[in-house]
Formats: sequence, structure tokens, C-alpha cells
Amino acid sequence: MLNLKNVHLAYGPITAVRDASIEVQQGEVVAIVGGNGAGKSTLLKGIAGLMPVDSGQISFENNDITRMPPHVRVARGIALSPEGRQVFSDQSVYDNLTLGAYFRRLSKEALEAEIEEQFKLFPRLRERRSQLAETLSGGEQQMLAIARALMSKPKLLLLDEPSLGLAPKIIQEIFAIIVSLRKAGITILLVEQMANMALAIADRAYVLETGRVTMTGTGQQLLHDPKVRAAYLGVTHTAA
Amino acid sequence: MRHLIGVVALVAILAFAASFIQNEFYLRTLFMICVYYLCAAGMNVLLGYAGQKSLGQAGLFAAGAYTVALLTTLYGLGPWTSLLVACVVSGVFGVLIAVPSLRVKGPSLAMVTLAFGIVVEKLVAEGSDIFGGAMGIYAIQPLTFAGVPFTTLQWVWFGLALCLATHVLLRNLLVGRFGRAFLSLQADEIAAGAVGVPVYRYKVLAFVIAAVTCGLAGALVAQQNQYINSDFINFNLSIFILLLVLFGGSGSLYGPLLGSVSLVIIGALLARWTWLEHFVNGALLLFALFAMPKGLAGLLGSLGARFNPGRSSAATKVVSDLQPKLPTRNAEGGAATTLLTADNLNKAFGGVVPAKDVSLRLTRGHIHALIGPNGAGKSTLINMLTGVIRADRGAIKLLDDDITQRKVHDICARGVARTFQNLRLFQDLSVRANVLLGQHSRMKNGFFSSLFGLPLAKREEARALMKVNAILQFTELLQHADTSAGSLAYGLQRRVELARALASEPQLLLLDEPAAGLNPQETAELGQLLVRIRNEGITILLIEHHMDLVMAISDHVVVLDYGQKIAEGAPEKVQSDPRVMEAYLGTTVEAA
Amino acid sequence: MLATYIQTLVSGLAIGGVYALIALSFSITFTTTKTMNFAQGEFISFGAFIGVAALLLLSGLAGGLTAIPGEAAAGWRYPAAALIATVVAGVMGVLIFLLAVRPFAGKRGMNWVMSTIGFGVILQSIGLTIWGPAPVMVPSPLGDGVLRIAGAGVRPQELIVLASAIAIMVIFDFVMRRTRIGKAMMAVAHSPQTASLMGINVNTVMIGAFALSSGLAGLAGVLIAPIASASLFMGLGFALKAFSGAIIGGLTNPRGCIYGGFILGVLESSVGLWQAQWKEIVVFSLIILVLAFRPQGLFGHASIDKV
Repeated sequence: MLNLKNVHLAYGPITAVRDASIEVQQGEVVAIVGGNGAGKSTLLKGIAGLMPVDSGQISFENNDITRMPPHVRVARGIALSPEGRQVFSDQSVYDNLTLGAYFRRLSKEALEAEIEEQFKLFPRLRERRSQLAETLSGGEQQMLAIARALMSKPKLLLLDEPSLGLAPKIIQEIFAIIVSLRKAGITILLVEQMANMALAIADRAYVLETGRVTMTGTGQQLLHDPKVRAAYLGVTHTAA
Repeated sequence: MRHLIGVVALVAILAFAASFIQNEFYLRTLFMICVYYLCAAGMNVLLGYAGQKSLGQAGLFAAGAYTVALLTTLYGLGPWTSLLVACVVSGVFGVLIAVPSLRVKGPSLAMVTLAFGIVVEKLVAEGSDIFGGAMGIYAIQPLTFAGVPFTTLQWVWFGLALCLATHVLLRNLLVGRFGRAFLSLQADEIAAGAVGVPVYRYKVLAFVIAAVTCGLAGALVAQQNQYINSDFINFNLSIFILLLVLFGGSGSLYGPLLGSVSLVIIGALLARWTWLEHFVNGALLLFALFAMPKGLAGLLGSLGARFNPGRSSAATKVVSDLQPKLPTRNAEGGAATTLLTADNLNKAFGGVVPAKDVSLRLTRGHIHALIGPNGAGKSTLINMLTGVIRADRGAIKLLDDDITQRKVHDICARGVARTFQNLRLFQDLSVRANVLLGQHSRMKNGFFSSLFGLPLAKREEARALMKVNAILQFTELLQHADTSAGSLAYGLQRRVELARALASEPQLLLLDEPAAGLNPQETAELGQLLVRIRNEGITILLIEHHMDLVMAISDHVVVLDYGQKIAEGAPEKVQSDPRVMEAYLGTTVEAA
Repeated sequence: MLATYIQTLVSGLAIGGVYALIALSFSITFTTTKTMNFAQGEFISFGAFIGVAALLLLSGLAGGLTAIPGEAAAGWRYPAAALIATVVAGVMGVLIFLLAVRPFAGKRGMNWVMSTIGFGVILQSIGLTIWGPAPVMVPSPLGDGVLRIAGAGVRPQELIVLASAIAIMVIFDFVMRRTRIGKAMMAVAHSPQTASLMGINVNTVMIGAFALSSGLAGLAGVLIAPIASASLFMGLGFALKAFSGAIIGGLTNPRGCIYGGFILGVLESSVGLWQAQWKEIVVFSLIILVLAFRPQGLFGHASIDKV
């Protein structure tokens, strides 16, 4: 479904992702794990079109999308729930969800019905329906960000650090929702620092270290691989 | 010295040549070139160096012109005294426009300066009982020599002399400590503060310099014409002064000269068609912005470089010191004593709480590491320690000195230096200038000694240059000293920022992710460099995600999560702490 | 005495309505593109003259008049002229965005400030060659008689200005809060990147913002012309005071800008009641005070720089 070939991404002179080749099949949950600053979020931004690709190719459903602007990619079926949630804090929960379906030009009834669907998935958002997004707790904002991304009826959902800054209990809740999305058949590419949790729910995963893919395998394989832990805490193998 | 002789000779030749000009119009054109050069030279300090857009210079021109007008006609003050007072008055107005710049930035500030110009314009046009409105003020006393009013030729001579003085003085100022500080404001105010430049003071100073030269120019025009009315003062004048600098070359010492010569001549040629003049000025402004971002000076400079290669590569004096040593300040108190304590720091941004009762104790001569997952509040902590943001509650003490409420540049001057997560170098400046800026707070030459190029300024500059060379050698950057910082490879830029921080001779060095974006080899080299810095007696606190690096070089590790300190101690101890592991890796999901 | 106060209040509100429209026009581009048109004053003046030209054209009169006869503005002609001026100014706004703003937007140095000023200078000199420096008296569609309300003399154009300004602002507010396009604009204002993730074409929204902003400036010119006379030099003063209103209200808050514009208008006319020549000084000092104590404006939010 999604295929990255030797993708390089850089902020000016700073290369953030080098030579990344990644693929996601229809129906999979794929996780990208790695420490802070490994280039995980940059990679997702590249896929969503928020960052220009320096070299390499990104294709989606066998179409080259490397140079496509972000709003066209959304229409093609790639939705990103961005790092740090980025909800429209000055608009209501309802309006945030409406914006998620912006390009679909739904009728009022269809829109209502789809928002209702999201409320079923995220009951806590229903209670907050007309509140401004800035009044929501961190966990609720994360839910809103995911629901907003789902409103575009994506074929591929990109989740960037959904656990960021959340308390452990809330993180559990968010991950339970990701599991239920997977059961609903949505293809997900998940970027996460909390490797244990991400690997536990992923079909496959890639480990990113300083901008390079260093390991890949099934979630379960990597979950028990001591090298993954080392990538975070530098415990056993010391490269230096 | 060669420069001084050169410009004096040039001005003397010009003055001599002018004495052969009989045509009054040509002499007046020459005089107006001098007048506009004065405006442009000051404006260049403000716009080209300090990077502040002032769209209200006409107001300052008016301040000078009307001061001499009123003083000589109403109060019978002598013309020379009035001219001096005019400079002072316009300087005061300069402070006045600078005041909003302390609170607002960007387009709002530009609009405020524009409003200032318009208000003055309205004031002199409508306040006809004082300023004479469109009728103007007549019989302004001209400058005199031995009691006789200046002839037009004498006015030209005087104008040339003023231009010469202005050029020499501003050059003294701009090539050294002050010029660098102004440039740092333009590049990045936050970084400027962090390297010890008192941002607000320097902004006001730049506004005042531009105001005084502009007021002087206004006063000269009023005295030469012996008349001033409100038609002189308009928005187009403000734009013209801006254009002089942009077209000539903003940020270049000779740009204002090129700008005033070329534009005054173009203006004189177009004088017959007044409507065309503004159109051409607007078009030239756009032309300069689009096609000639460095102005005529930049154009000539690049031509010069093409025909005369090798001139630009100034020979670098290699200090052959085998054992490079960092310049450091005398440490108070012995080793292994507490250098900095932070008590119960709290900070909240709306609902986000990046610091909740965080306490910290840093030991002199140690490398401390601050780790934690994204959003744990690490950068916020460094920002609080350096005064970039204020803690809501809590206290920070450097030795016995409470620095909780101190300003950024003040904290730097007291010996706390820092680097930034996303690199805040002064990109267009050379590596050496960047590091010299780090020396800013250590240099003792003040405004006047710099302006007049007194021995103190020269001595301090030489001393700073020596120290900086030592630092560049210590950090192995000497071969890149004359390269502009922004053009270096990323790893080197990181090192330049570190060198710049070292140049303030800090007791404590705060590093926000110094290894971010570095490859493994560069990271290892950085580790060695940090150890060498510590061995020079400098205490380090670093935020870092490269755990290999942290574990290899730290004496003490502090772990933050969720704005709270969850663990601290020796690296091995922290590494095996279950709370730390959970914060980083998360617990496993039972649901899956 | 009361009559004087009412009179002052009405004319303050009318002029304040114009300030509010222009303040809003600054806010629209500033929130969506972080830039604004420093030639907005020339757009106001041009709006007035395009309106005049349209009036003359529609009523079949020759150009070059220093006073437009009353019948030229009668009936549908004035609204039609206003519409034409709005559209033409809007198109000019798209041009200035594409030519002067976008090449510099988001880069260091704020060169767009100077490039828009450069365009303004050029526009003004073009305007001077077409229309000349003399002000043109423009009639109000409701005539220039004075209405008596509770003894106070009120000019009908003041009521037109006030009513149109309020109507436009109510529509704008409704569009921003209730419609899809308004929500898209708010989304772009909040974060262009995130907005693009919603499938919003950010570039189009920014162009639209400049068109709308300039259109409002043009309309403001037509509205004010019967009160202040059309002149190529009138725009700058209005733009500056409107900007002051925007600063008072908070540049990033469209509603705040509207309040700020009205506050400024009423304040200005009250000061005028007392000492006419002090108007500018008082207004200017007020801005300095607001900036000193609440740089984000009375109704704005403080922003935090991320380091």
C-alpha cells in the first residue's frame, strides 16, 4: 500500500532521515520505534507531505506521491494525527471533527452521521462536543486528533506519538483504541517512543536510530530483542 | 590608520574639487548628497546592522529641523548651539520611538514607527501657530564662520566634514564590539541575549544613532535654506531614507554612500518631473528588494571579488600553541563545591506543566546530564536557569547570588552560558565573529571609547581576539574561522555554538542536546571535547538523548518525566532504575 | 448639549465602523499569512477613486470633476460602485500578495513590509497621474441633508457607513464561525501545517485572505468618500488609525479588532469635541500605552515564543 524507497529527509543542513525504505501492507499495523531525535516524526511528516523529500521515492497504492502537496495526499487517503496533537484549540470539538472531513464536502446529515460514529468510538468526546478544544485534557485532545484524522475516511492512518505527555493510564486507553481500530481493518503506521506498547500491538515494526532503519521484524520479535532496549538506554551494546 | 588617511584624502580632494564648481545647482546637489549620507549612515546602523525597520525617519528629520528653526527664530539662540541642541532633541525622540520596540516586534513595530512619522507630519502641518504649517518658518539663522553666514561652497565643505566624521566614528563603532552586537540583534534576539548582549539597550542605542544623524541632517537643511515648512516632512522622505540604505547596500559600511550619491543624482535628473520621482523611488525599492538584496555595495563587492580573487582570503594567524588552553574566569570557591542550586522550580503554560517542584544541585567541575522522554520539561528547565523564561515559583542561586529574576544577558555575564536545541547561530557572521560575540560580556570598552577608537577599545578588541583564537584552537575550528557559520556542515555548526558559549568564559555550561543530528563519530568526538572542557574546570549540564554519550561522560544524571524529577544519581544507578525504564519504554499493554 | 454628544457618538461610531473594517482587513491577512499589506492606505484611496470612476461611468458623466453631482450616486449606482471598487481592490490584493508578499513571506528580514510599501508608492504615483492630487467631493446616495435625531444633526452617510460596517462584520463573523470556508480560514490561522492535513489548500486560503482584506479596504474607501472626500492622500491616515484600532483590540483576534476600531472612532470624535488638533496625539499615546501594558491588545492572547 505504502512504499518508501531510500528516502532522505532534512531540515536545511540537518539530515533527519537517511536512506529509509519502509513498506506498509493493506490491513497491517506497522510501528516505527526509536529514541528521541531518531527521526521518527520527520519520517511521518515526509509521508504526509509536510516536509519536502530530498531524495528517494514515496508511493501510495502504486502511485508516486513524492512531490504531492499535503492536502492532495489527504484526499488520496493518507491521514496524519500529528505529534503533539495540534488540535484547533480555538474551535469546538464538533468543528474540529468537521474540519477533518473538510475536503469531502459531506451533506449536513452525512456529516452528523460520521461524527456520531466517532462519538461511538470516543464516548468522552461526545460529552465535550461543543467545548473549545483547548479546554480538553491531554488525553481527550489526543482522542480528538485521532478522531479528526479518521473523519477523512483514510485508507492509511499515520499516528505520531499518541502517548506523548500522557499519564500511563490514559496511554493504556489510547492504545486500546488503536487496537480496536486495527480490528476494524484500518491500516495504521504508528510512530511511538514507548516501544513496549507499540511493539505489543504491531504486526511488524522498524527500529530507527539517528535517522537510519537499524532493525526490522515482527512486533513480537523486536519486543524481546535486547538490542531494542539498548537503542533507547544504551545498556548493553555500546557503539562508542 | 590607512583607512583614515585614505578617507581624509578623498574628502580633501572632493572639497578642493568643489571649490571649482560655479554652478549653484551642482553645489546644492553635492550638499544634499552629504545631508542624505548623514541620514543613511545612521539608518544603516538601525536597519542594516540592528535589523530594525523604522518607517518614520521623516519625524526625526523634522525634530532636528524644527529645533533649529524654533531656537534660532523664537529664542535667539546661536546657530551653532542650536545645531547641537537639535542633535540632542532628535536623540531624545529616538529613545521615544525605541520604547515600543521593547514590547512589540515585527510588523507592529514597523507600523508604530510609521505612525510616529505621520504624527509628526500632522503636527507640523496643522500646528501652524507654533510650526507655521505650510507657510513655514522663515529667517532661520544659518551657520556662520567668523560671524559671516556660510556660502554654498562652505556648506558643502561643512557637509563633507560632517560626513567624514560620521563615517569614521561609525566605522570605529561598527567594526568592533558594538557592530557585532547590533548584527546579533538582527540575526537572533534570543541568541543575542544568551551570549550576553543587553538586547533592549542596544536596540535603543541603534534607534538613537539613527535619530541623531537624521536630526542633524534636518537641522542642516533648515539652516542652509534658512526656511522650513511642513512640505519637507512627509512619508516619502521616510521611504527615501529607507531606500538610500537598501539601494546602497544595507549592512555595508559604504552602502549609505553609494545609495546617497546615486539616488540624489537620479533625483536631480528627474527633478523636472516630480510625479515620476516617487514612481521611480518605488520601483527602485522593489528592484533593490527583488534583484539586489545586498544593494549596490553588494553588487560592487561581488564584481570586485571576481576581478580580484585572493584578496578576500585574509591570512589567518595560526597561534602555534601546542597545548591550547581555554580562557576561564577565576573560580570562586574550590572544586566539588555546589555551583548552582535550584529549589522547587515550577512552571505552567496553561494546562501543560513542564516543571513541578524541580530541585537541582550542580557540583563544580562535574558533568551533569539531564534526561527524560519528549515533553518531560528538560528544555524548560534550561530556559528557566538561563532566564529565557521565568519560573512561576522557586529560586535559582548561582553560588550565593540569587539569579531567579535576572535578565538573560545578566545571567550570561555572571558565568552561565548555553547552547540551543535547534542551533541559534548568527548564520551570516563568520565563525570568528560568532565566537567574538560570546566575548561580548567580558569586554570592557564602552560606547565612547569604541566610538572614538580609543586605546582601551583597541586593547580590548585585541585581547578578545586572542582569547577567541585560543578557543577556536581548543575546539579545532581555527581553519574555519573566516567562513560564515551558516555555510558550515551541521556538526561543525554545533561546535561553533559550543565555542561561542565558551567565549563568555562560563562557570557553568548548559547544553541543550549538543549531539542532536550528529553521526556516531561526531558524537564520540563531542564526548571527548566535553570531557576536555570539564577538565578546564567548567561545570556542564547537558540534555541529551544519545545514551551512550550520557553514560560515558556524566558524573551525575537527573531524570525528568512529566515535569518532575523521578530519579538522579550515578549513571549506572539511573540506568537500572525501573521507574526510568518505564518512563522511556512504557509498560506493556495487557489488552493486546 | 445632549444633542452634541449624540452627534459626536454617531459620527464616532460611523468613522469607527470604517476603522473596524480596515482593522479587520489587517487581522485577516495577519492571522492567515503572518503578513499584512503596508500599502493598505493606497488601497483605501484607490477604492474611493475606483468608486468615483464607477459612479461617473454608470451615470454617463465625464471624468475630471472635482465634485460629483448628487444624482450620480442615486439609487442603485452607489451600491454598484461599491461592489466594483471592492472587486477591483480584491484583485489588486491578489496581485500584491503574489508579487510582493509571497516571495518574502516566512523569510528573515520582513522584506514584505518594504515591498508592499514600494507597491504603495508606485500605486500612489500612478493614481496621481490618473486622478491628480485634488480631493473630489463625493455625494451620498441619500443626499447631503442633515437628519435630526433627538435634536442632533446626523449625516445620512454616517448611518449608511455604520449600517454597512455592522452588516459586513456580522456576515463575516457568521462566515468565520458557521461556514466551511470560515472554519478553513480559522484552521489556517491556527496552523497552516495542520490545516493542510485536513485537506485544506492553504495557498488558496492565503490568496483568498488577501483578496478579502484588500476588498474590504476598497469598500472602506467608497464608504468614507462622501464624508471625507476622495483623495489619494486620505488612505494612509485611515489605515494607520485602523491599525491602531487593531493593536488596541489585538491584531490576532478579528472580533477584538472590530471592537478596537469602534473604540478608536468614538474616542477620536470625543477628543475632537474637546480639542480637534489633539486627535492624532491622543490616539498615538493610547497605542503606546496599550503596547506598554498589554502588547497583545485588550482582547488578544499573549503568545509564547518557543526556544
